[in-house]
Amino acid sequence: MKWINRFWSLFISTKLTVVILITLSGTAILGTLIKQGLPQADYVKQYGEVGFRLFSMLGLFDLYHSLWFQAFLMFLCLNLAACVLERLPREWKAARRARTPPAPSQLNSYPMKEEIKKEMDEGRLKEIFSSFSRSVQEFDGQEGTFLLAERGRYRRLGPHVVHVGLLVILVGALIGSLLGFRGTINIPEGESSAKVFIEGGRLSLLNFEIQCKSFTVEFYPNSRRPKRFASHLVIIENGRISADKIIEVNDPLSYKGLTFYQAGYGPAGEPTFTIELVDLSTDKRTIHTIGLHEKVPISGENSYFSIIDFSTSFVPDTGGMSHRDLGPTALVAFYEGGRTIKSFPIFQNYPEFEPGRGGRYNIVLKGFREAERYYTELQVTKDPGTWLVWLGCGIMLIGLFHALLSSHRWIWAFIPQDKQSPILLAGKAEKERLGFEREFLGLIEPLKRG
Amino acid sequence: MTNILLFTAVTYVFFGAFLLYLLSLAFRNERAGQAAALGLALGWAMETVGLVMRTYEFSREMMEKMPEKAGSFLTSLYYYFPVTNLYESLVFFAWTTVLIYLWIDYRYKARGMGAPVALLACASMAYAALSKSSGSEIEPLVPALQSNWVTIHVITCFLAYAFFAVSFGASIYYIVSSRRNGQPEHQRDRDVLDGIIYKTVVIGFVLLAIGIVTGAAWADYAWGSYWSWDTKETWSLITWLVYAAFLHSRFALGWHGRRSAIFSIIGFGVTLFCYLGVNLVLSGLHSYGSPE
Repeated sequence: MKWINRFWSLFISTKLTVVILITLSGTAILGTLIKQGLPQADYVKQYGEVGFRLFSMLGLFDLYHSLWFQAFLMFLCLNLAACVLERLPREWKAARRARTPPAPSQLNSYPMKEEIKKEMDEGRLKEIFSSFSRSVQEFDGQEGTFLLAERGRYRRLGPHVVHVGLLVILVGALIGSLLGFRGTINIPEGESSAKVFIEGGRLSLLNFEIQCKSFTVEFYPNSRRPKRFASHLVIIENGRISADKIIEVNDPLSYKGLTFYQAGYGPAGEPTFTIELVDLSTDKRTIHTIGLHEKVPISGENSYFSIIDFSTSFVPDTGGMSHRDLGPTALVAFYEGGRTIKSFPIFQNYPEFEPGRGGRYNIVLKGFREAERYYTELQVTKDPGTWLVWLGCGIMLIGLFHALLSSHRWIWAFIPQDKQSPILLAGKAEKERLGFEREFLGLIEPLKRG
Repeated sequence: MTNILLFTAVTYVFFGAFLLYLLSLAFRNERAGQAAALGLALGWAMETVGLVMRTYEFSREMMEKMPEKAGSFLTSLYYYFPVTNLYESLVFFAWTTVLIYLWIDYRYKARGMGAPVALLACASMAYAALSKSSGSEIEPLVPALQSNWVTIHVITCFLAYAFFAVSFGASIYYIVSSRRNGQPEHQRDRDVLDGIIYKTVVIGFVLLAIGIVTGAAWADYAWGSYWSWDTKETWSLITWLVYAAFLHSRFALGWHGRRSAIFSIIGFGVTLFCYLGVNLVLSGLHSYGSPE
């Protein structure tokens, strides 16, 4: 049984905790250096085929959900739980235990002590002790009387309270990851949906329908920076409306354990463009209003052009050097005999940019109109462990305040029987001796003055 | 804008204070030390004026731009406390660091550590001013930042960073002064310094815990997930774990003095990476701090 004891004492040692903390930090760093959850092709590009296989096997691309990282967290949990089990009952008993006066010689080893030589009336001493602690205990010994004033005796429980809080948080997180999910729903304005795209690629059906009655977005003046966006959602279950709320960012809707967050938005359907077509050989100008991929015939057999892609704010990829926004940009493609012969971007803000690219024709993007409708992007989550997480956070914070912002400290006074000997005052603090030193000196100041 | 000019002036005042601290250390001149502390206090007062002006301007502007959100002047003050981008956060960081130091100086007379603190404050202000892209212009808030949690989250985090910074300053001075030969330091002074290193870490640790919890609460409310292993999130957790290790090494293994000082310096290195490095090197949700 000896080895079990040795294993246990290693398991509950703070050294092990420090090692776990440092290692956990180190591995967590790894996860921020290697980008998580990218498509496979990106990893192969970055690390090569072999590197990809190796890293993927080690779970480095989804590190925080990898088995070994979770096992590591579990190990921390066990260490925490063991420490709490081992120490909390002991500290509790220690805090509740009846105090007994030490030998006067023991008091001499206290870090803070003071002898008061003059005649001292006990009442005044007690008064000062009472100002330090609400309950002052008195013990009568053979050699004299002892007074004890103690503060923060339950402070020693603080660290264990923090550990209990952390355990509760981790249990809550575990419940969330086992029983919860996260996903997104996109609903065009006016329509309804029950399809949730779960993170990781699965599709799931809710047993009720969410309808987006309307969607609104407001922008800051003269910019595309959204100021506020909101969706009017209605939940329809068994043909009846069972919830109705306008949600926006930072104001979600909760229904039957699921929460719907306003995550984003986009145009439902495609924009329409106003294009000016200039035939450079005849200088004939025509204006066309077209949609995406709509064919605009030009002279020649089976020849046409169309807009095949569009962005309201195009930022060219220059390898990360500059990120200039070129504004509304359309990608134009020319077709001849059914085949693409060339394609190039045109910019609404820079109509003069390289005009010769279209050969005989010059195409100018005059303007565009976004689709009348938007779709709203909702984030859906179910996490039955959340309340435990918040409970744990609360416990942890209370424990932190309790443990760290003050400490257990106490003062003894020994009043010897024979009135000739000096009164001995001795104080000790479990930690943060500096603050206690000031407190002690401040406390005995009036005694020294008499 | 006046507040930016004022902040530039503050940078120079902090640098002046740093030089005075160096003088006082080099020549063991008490007068220079007093002048340095006064200079630091003056710079801090100037910065306070600048911050008040900026907050006022910002709140006013927001009230005009989005009256339905801003509400009264007081609530808008809470919403738009100027810590919304890297520039403002660096200014606020310098401000709190100096404030904490001045309080310690007043209480414990630990003047030697003023030199690293003043240099740090000066560097923070200079970095804010020099990185043009750090947003010295007032910008309107995107919806995600319009939350009750934001202000408390951001303020507690930056306060924590500031306490770690002061602990770092004390640690640097602790190590440097122990190496100075020929002038034996009083053990008491060193104990005081050790106590400051510990106490500031403790307060920073509690504040960072509050910062992480409020950040999680905000994320849960805005995005439906209290924890998503975002790089900033992860690094703040790493910082917290490192300081947790610091505290455990102190309580249970009895590390203090030089060892604690080195630990605190490492901790601040991690803090700095969490604060600035993440946005410079890595990417994530907290793009407010990225230099475009």
